[in-house]
Amino acid sequence: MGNFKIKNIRVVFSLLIFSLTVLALLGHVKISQLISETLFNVQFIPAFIQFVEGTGIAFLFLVLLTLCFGRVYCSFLCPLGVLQDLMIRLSLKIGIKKQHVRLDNFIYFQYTVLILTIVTVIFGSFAFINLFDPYTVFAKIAAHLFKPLVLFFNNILVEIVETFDIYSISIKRQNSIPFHVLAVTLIFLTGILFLSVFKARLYCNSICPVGLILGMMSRVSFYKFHMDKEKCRHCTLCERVCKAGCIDVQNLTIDNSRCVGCFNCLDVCDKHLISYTHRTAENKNHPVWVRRHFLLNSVVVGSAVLSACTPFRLEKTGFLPGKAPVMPPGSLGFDHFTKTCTACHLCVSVCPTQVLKPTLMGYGLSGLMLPQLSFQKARCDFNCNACGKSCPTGAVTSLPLKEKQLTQIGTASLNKELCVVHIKKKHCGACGEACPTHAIFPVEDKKVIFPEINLEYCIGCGACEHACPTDPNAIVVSSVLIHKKVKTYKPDRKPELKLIPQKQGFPF
Amino acid sequence: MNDNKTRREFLKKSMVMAFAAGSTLVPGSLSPIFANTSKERIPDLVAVKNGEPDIMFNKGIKLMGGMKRFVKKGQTVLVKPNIGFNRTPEFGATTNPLLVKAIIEHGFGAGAKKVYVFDHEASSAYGLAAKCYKNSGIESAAKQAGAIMAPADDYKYYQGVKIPGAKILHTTDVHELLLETDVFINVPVLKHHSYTHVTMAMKNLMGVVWDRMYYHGYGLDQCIAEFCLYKKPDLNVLDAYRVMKSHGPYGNSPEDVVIAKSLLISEDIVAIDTAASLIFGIPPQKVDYIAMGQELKLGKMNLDELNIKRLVL
Repeated sequence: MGNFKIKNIRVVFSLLIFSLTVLALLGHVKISQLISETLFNVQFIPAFIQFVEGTGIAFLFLVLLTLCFGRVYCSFLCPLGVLQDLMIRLSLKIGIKKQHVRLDNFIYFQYTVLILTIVTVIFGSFAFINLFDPYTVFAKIAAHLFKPLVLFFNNILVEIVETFDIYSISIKRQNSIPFHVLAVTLIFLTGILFLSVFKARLYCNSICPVGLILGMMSRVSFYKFHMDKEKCRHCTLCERVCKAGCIDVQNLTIDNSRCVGCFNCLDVCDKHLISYTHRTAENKNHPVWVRRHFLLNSVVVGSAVLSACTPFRLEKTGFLPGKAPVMPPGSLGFDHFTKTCTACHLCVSVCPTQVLKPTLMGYGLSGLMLPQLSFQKARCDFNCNACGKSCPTGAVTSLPLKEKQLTQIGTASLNKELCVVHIKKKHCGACGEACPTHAIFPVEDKKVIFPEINLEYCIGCGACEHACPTDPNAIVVSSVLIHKKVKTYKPDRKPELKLIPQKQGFPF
Repeated sequence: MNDNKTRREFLKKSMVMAFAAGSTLVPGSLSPIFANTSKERIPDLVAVKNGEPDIMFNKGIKLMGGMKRFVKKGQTVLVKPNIGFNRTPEFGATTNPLLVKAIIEHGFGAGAKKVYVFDHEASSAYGLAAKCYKNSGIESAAKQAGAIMAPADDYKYYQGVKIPGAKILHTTDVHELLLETDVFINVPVLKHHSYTHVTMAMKNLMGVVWDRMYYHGYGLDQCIAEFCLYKKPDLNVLDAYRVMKSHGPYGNSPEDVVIAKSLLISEDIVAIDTAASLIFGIPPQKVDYIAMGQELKLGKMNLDELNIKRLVL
């Protein structure tokens, strides 16, 4: 071989990124945290949100990368892009498709998506980002469709080894994901797979808002693909391997704004007439800017800046349809959460107690499929802060455990008309027994012990609601829209430590 | 900082204690178990005081006639401690790991083929059990002694059973190991319970069923007593080394704990709970499920009728 092939590097690198992304979304707390802290920082939208929130500067690296090398992000870093590449490769292998064709320009549709994304963000809704951000789309596919497969095989393995009394691996369950969210994820997966089989990287060049922004930047990138127009014999070899469909052999042009940087074309030309070179070597006749692109780009850039400026956002709690969802500890409150969460569901996958569950419209129009705490079948573990540790955008900020244990995300309230102890005058105490903060305390009256709540200590972890045996629950947690800090519990009196007088060392 | 220091000191101390206890155990104490030749009447209740958990058990089980009375060669044994809460041993919320270890060792000493240990985490929430197993210190203690830590946090491990003579708890799902093993040893910890006053041997059996919230919803005390109609443990070993006196069953801090250094052993689950509530300092009549247990003829509350062996070390 001896030949240095960028394409080979791309294949190896992108497969690595792909596997790590899938691995992170399988939800092992430590692995996910590690990958989220490194790899997901350079996912475009998470990086952008971090940049706007002032918590990370990886976004500048991505901008610089694109301005230097074009849209290499799409082939090297984007997991959804790699998923499409895998599908494309498969369809070529098994012969569904023989070659790629030059694609019609869907750029106006893509501009519409992007502008709508930006406009909705200005009006305080992350819905389009929740739906179309490629990292988010892929993360949901991995967490809700790939992970169950892995768990299925894990659980079969557990069944097998348990028959030999080996319990070193354990059964893993995944909380049921709401049907709507699964449906959206499945539609995106099938849609994207369908497109990739028949139209290669069409998603990237007709829908993806990130792809369009990167494309705009790569028009002026330092390194670009160039064609030797004089020597080309119009064999169309390059056109046929171009997944983005951006090479036009008839007119001898390469649309670098649509090129996803896969480097397939470089090697396929036996005369090496396609080159990846910097701007000074460029054919000066090639127009970089067309007027309409320039106008559109200005609109996009202008509104992107506008959307990043929080003061312009409209009041968002107005979008809430009904009861506010309980938001994860560290998400600070409704406003911060809905303007930073892309709904990638990494926290949902990571959550060890599976209390985090996506809700399609629970946040109204402020965000689609955002996670909430659902206490029907689970509770938030007092000794856990995994969601904050793994969140790639900072929507759920990472709280030290001590701080998380004092962060109020909701408040409990007891409906005495439903409570077992009040109705039957029989002991229950399920809520008090489960309460980790002693917000619920016992009050004895006529030999029966009743639960009472002191909201000064209640953090809204939902242990009580989860434990409550009545249906509907007598004790429920309602959301707190701006998270607060509660007091640390201090017992009023020291416990009585004396044991009663003893005969022969024993009281009996 | 202060907290850390005391916690570390405590750990160091308990490690030294464990080491000392272990070294006294090895040379002499195992052999007498096999040589139970005493023709004395077997006591109904053995109470031991002022020793380390494992040493108290070594002496106590000898007074009960040795582990061989309960475990025959080749049998499988289930040891059911309280591992219901994610707490370290100094909170007294879970059974003392040294005691669990000693019981397992005696089980193997008596010729047990396998010893299993499990508990169903108290809130029955997904994903908490592993932390309880680990932080209680019971997982590592049990494994060191050669027992198998079995999971209990998935419904697949449970099977429906009927409870004869029950008024409320007609059926329930119990852990399969309860059905599969030959010998059932219940190892509760004595501690305060804010909503049933105190938790002991009978209440510890809530950890072998899947849906404990049914108990809460339909009559906690009654269900606790009625479960014993289905199965009573072959042996109850009650850990009262560290007794949580307030904020039970979860506890607030190690300050809730009084070091009582006591241990009770009995086949009679009502008697052991009666005696334990006296150690705790609450009249047994006040704990509803004890009286209900006697009504269901599960055992005797009148300790004067019983042959009690007391041993103060």
